[in-house]
Amino acid sequence: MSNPRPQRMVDRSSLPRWKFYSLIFWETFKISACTFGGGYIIMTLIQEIFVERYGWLSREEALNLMAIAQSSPGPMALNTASLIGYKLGGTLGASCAVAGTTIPPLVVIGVLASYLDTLSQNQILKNFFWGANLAIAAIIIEVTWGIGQSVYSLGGRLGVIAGLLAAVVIFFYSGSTPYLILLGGLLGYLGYFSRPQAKGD
Amino acid sequence: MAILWTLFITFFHIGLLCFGGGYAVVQLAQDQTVNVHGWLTLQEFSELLTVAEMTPGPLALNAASFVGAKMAGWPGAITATIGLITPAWLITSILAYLYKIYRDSTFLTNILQGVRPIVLGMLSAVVVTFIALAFQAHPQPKAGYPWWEYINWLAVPVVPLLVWLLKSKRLGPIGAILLAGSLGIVVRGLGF
Repeated sequence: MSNPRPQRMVDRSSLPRWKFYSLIFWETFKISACTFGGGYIIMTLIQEIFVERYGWLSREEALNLMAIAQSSPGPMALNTASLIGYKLGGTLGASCAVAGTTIPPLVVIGVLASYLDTLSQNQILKNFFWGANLAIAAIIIEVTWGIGQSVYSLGGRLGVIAGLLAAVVIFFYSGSTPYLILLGGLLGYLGYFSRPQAKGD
Repeated sequence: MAILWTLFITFFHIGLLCFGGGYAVVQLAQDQTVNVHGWLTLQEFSELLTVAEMTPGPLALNAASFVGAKMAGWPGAITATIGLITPAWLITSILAYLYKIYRDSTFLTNILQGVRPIVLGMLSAVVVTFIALAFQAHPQPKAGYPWWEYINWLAVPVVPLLVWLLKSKRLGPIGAILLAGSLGIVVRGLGF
């Protein structure tokens, strides 16, 4: 897969156990603590860091886990963190990732709860968020482009077309996602989305 | 004590029943906190959303901590958060285990082959939302101005530049947010 970003892979086998698990915690913690714009952005960044930066997860696997996260109830960022954590390091890995995702918003809100009204009126903070929106747009564009490439390489043109159709439906009816997942799963089960290479040979 | 238990049950319920993440959670949370329990007024709830969007982290977790903190301080925030994450944690653990066992089965491979495009679809819909957010002038002028007054012209060079930096240079997402946020402070501070 084309991936122009410079790689700085971390070899898992050379890491002590505690270091491995604390990295799962620390990376999800950083993303959850520093990312504005909600769960979708956080979800994509969590998968991206373990795929692109650490190389601990294949793109296909990350996409599968996001698909499963999307199919289960609960906050999507948390589902993705838990599934990826489990995939990387079993129950302990999942616990580290869930804790990493949960603690920052809990602490930030817990500490700031009584000042939030004043803070949300603060002009400098408002200006910061006004600018940060540009970065959030750029991040989600970049990540979604990468995911589009993965969907293309795994599901061919049909997969991308199905994705864009789903995008139009979700954009206008945001409540339709669960039904689209059921529909996609059913069509997939019936073999309508079989892999390009399986069709060819 | 009773309030903590109610908070736990309420957010457990929300975590268990909301599919589709993000705004689905918000709708359910609004129903529970405003209509069912009367913890917040509708006005307070919409202020909460503004705050939740301005604080880092997943929206649903922010909302849970916020309501919990408002009702019962730190213990409340922790209880509500644990209530919200428990069902997600349990269910995803089971699913992760099942995925580990069945990931190579034709059954699951086929289903995932059909669900993966929906992930792309959902993210693409989010892309449109955030592009719209970034490219519209804020605050929006009232009706009757020429069309270019409604556009945030700073986004036109900056968003593509940031995409390029993220893609080809080693700019990480957190760096991008800090960079663009500082740019916002400077540009708006100068009265743009």
